Amino acid sequence: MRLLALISGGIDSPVAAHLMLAKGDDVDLLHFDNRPFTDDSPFEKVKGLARTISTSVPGARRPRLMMAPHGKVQIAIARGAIRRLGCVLCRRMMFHVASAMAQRDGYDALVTGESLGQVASQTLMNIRAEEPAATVPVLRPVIGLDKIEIIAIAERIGTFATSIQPGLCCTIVPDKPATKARLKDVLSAENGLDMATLIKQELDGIQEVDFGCR
Amino acid sequence: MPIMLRQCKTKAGYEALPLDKRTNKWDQERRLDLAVIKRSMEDLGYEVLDAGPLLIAKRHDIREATIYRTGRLIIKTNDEAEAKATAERIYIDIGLEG
Repeated sequence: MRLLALISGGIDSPVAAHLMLAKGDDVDLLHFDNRPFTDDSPFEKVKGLARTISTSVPGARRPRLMMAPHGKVQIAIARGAIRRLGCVLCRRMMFHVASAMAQRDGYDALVTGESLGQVASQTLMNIRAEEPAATVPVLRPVIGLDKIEIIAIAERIGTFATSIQPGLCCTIVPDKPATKARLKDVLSAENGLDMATLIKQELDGIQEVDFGCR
Repeated sequence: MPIMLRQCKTKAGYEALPLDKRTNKWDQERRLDLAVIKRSMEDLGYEVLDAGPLLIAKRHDIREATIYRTGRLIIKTNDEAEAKATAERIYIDIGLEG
């Protein structure tokens, strides 16, 4: 399968991408660049993580790394939608854009590093509200693993040291993010946004990033 | 005005909170008018991005900082002295120094 793995600078998503690479799938990486709501560190970390992942499975095809500019979308969501739904809408936008890219470029599915209950956006109810935004299957290879198990894999493949380097958290996270988002509320919020334009702008802005050789 | 300064959990930035001079506590009910603050900061030479519930401001001599309605700041530096100087400057420039 050709898979598009959504990768942040954290611990879980590089492990998820590696696990699918290790299964023998063709995996490319897509990072949503959250600047100016973070600093440059996640972007630099992701390049380092891509280098490590690319050599984590002997003989596997070297992944490509793509970057989607996500800052303008965050502004549109913050200005135009109910504040507490911000994280859910942000993740739905990632699914919208990644699905559009998958359909355009021939990927069979998306891969995410979601692991239930670790952060506000990763409750089962939120996942139920987010997943319908994807128009291709979403694979979650670490969904049932606990943090200790994920860290053990990250240490084994060499991504852990990079993932825990300092990186500014998203500064546009609401004070009280929704943990039980309802799909009808989320769809209503999206109706207030110019979704087609936002998705097209972000899709058109995706660029391949040279992450160098290891 | 006293300021509480603490490093972010990820150690990539600092959070600053403006404290009440009398109680030495952060007034979480404070609501700044970000539209007014944006204009006044631009008049002082800041480049300001209005992101709705927050502003992102920087100037050639001031580190980039996120400004929330409550007066909370997130400053993009891992240098404590620079974070403190940035917070003090911004609080003066947005009229919270009193």
